[in-house]
Amino acid sequence: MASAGLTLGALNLLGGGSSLYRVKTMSDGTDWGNGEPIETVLASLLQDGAVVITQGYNNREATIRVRVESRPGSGGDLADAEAGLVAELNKPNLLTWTPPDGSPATVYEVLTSNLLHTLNDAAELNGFRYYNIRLVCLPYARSVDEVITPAIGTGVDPPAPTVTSIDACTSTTGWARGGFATSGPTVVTGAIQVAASLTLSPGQRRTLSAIRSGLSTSMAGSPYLRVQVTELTSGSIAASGISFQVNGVAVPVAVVSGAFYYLDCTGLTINSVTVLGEWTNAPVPGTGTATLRVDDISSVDTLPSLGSSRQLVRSLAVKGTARTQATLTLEHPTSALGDGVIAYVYDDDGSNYVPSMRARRAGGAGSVSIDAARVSGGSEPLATPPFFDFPYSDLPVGPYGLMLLVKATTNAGAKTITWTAQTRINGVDQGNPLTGTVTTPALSNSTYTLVPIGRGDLRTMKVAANSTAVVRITLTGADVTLDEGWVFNTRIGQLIVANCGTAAPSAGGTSNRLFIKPATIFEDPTVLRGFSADQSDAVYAGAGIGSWMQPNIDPPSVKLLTVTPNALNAAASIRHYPRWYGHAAA
Amino acid sequence: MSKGLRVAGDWLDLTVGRFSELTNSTRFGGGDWEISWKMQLPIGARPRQLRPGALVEVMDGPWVLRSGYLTEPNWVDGTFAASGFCREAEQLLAFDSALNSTLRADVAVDRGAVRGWRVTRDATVPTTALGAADTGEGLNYIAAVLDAAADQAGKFWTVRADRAVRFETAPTTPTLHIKPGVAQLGVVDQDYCRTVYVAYCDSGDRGKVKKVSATDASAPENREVGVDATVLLPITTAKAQSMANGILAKGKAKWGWTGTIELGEHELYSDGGERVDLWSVQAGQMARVHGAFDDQVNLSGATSLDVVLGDTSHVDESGVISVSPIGTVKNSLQAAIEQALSVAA
Repeated sequence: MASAGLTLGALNLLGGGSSLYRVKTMSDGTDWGNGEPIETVLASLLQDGAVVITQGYNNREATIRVRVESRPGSGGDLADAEAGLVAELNKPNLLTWTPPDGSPATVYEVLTSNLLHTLNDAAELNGFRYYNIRLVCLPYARSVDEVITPAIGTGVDPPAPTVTSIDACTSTTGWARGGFATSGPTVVTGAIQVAASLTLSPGQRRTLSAIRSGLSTSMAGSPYLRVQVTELTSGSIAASGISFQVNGVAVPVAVVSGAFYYLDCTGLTINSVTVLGEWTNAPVPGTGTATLRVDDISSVDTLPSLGSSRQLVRSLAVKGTARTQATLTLEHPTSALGDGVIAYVYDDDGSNYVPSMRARRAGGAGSVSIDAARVSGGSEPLATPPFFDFPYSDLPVGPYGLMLLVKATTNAGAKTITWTAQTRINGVDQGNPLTGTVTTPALSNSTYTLVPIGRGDLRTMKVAANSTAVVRITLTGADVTLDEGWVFNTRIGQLIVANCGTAAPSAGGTSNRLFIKPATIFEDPTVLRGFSADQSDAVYAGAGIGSWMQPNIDPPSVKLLTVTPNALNAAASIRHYPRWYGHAAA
Repeated sequence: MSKGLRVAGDWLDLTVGRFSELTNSTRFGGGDWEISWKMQLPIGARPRQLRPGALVEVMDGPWVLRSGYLTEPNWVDGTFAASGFCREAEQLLAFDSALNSTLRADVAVDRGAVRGWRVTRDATVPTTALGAADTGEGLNYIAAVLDAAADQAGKFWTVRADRAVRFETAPTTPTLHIKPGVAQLGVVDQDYCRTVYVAYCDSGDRGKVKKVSATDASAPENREVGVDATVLLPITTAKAQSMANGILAKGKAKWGWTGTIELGEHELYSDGGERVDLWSVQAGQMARVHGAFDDQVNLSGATSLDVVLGDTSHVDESGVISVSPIGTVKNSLQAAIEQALSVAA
């Protein structure tokens, strides 16, 4: 059996002390305590029982019973021992416990402490004294050492995703048509096609489907299904959306990149894939030919970046079993991060929620101009209003803040931007929309600016858990050009925005590193920007902080959306102590 | 997630220290009414941000939820409060650019902004004079001019988080729903009338004192109240009549409500049936109280009562908000004095 260890600051409580005195810990009367749950009973319409939630934990109170004695022949006395104990009390400190079973050492962060003594004449006569040490500690224990968890992104181009073909769509084996398709499946120029001639009355919708069955594909190691799909149309009908089923169950799209649709199929074994294309018409009767074309079905191990490598969504592993505090670092080896740097940390709840709007663009009177210098990879004028569809399944409950990255199209100055959020099911508006109008600060006609444009509950209607409802966000603004927009959920996520500059970075100048530091028992939270990795030249980001919320770091992982307008593939990492309920496991 | 505080442009917990018990209240009219919080600062600490008059903003990320200006801090027990910018109008006089007492709401706002009132003017602020002329004698505070203009228009003036002075109409469609069994509003028949008489100096008849009246026949009791508008110098009969109509339109012909409603997050819903974020609930919204009675009018079988929220109060992360409808009779001594003083002004 390994040796146990117990230290309070620099004082060894298991036989340590000084040349003058010795401290021993008694097992009777020693307890590490427990964090006290903060439970709230919520009023509800339950007829029996009550809804109770745990909002957090209050501090734990640990007690250590020690016996102190002077070392024989040292000339020391019991007062020296008491002085040695007091030197470690009444201040923030660390209590480190190493169990005798060989498991890792556990640290309890002490906020304050005090000494309790009761006179015992027998002990006094025999040259020793008993004390109870009372320690008020943070509720969770932690590991001894910090860990650094990097996210994908090292300041250089990330490795290309590994693509594993499932069906190259060069043969009709395993394919069938469904829905309103009347011809196919056939192979046309290297792709599977199903088609139909449609005559649609006003507002009518028809869906064609191409079904690939007979598969047995495990998604382990390569969890994202990638399908290359195109809707071809002739006549007076219009394509109105693509959706998917895997093993007969609707699966929402995680990311759209051009004609590639990415679905999160983590943990699945795929037996069938159904590709559905919908067509509708203008408010007059329409006739035309609808063709659904599937070019490829593959699996990939990573999702693509959102339009450009200036905007990345990553998952960060958090060790431990309890919420912790972490320093979040964004950095690039050579480029300043830019102005309007965004770090949005949010719960990894298994949904496909990603705040970015461009990836959800569903249409509009205008079109997107490709521009690699833009965060979204493109830009478009809001004078021809675009709209963006977010499935309800990808919008966690909670209030949302809307933010745009915009510039004046022609004439610099303040602009008016109007937005609406409308719930729709099957293309039909449901309930009342949420709307807002904002007058921006003066916009440049060359530089893009982050502008918060409104806040509200985007999920305007109560729907079922498996609802197909979407929230359509429409943006309008005369003489305004949009790069990217975001809908940030402020219940499950925390948004930090800071300016780091755009010129070549240097110590004391613009910054290629941003450090977002949490509150600890020793320090207040802060946001620093700098040049050196060791933070030796880092300074408070000051007036350049456009948004601050302390990140919530919950194990086993959190998601991180970063926008670094001036830096490609900026690296992101978190440095944290793993926290545990009572005892560290690593 | 707890909200942030930005004072004098600085994030408080990044530059000064941690705060707790963040509380806010709103009113209709008025808008953002008060923000308060607590901080434990070292003895003798006087952070430069916490100076009286500093701009205080409650933040949700970069979005401003409430705004105000810091009033006298209490360094002893660490309590701090900020008043909404509507209340600063009670301390600024209504002048035009030549320091004449203006009787125009738009001029009062614009010139007040020039002299340091940190607001902008929305297009809903009236641009016509209260009386026969744009200026008058005597000294009026901006709040008094705005109150009178709002009464004439049958509206409520507010300054909300964006610090824009607006004239708002009480809504007629509920956007909030309170679940049944939560609220039952008591009524009391003080501060109420069926008929309003307004005495005024007729600018069209050599300033002769005349009277106009407005009556709400649906009011349950026959009670009259007089308003002396002769202090406003000569005004037209039309203006006097709109003043009488406006006072009735703002609920004067209704019994006053008593008490407040305390609502948990699970007791308040949007018109789409979803739970609402409590910070989005503000005075001036209409709520449908399901299962409540109206002791004054025949609801014809309706099982709910629609009220416009006149007061809200909320402590951040408490999960509870207190609301009361327009026309709530304030029974505290302070509130009674406040009403008497506002009438005298």
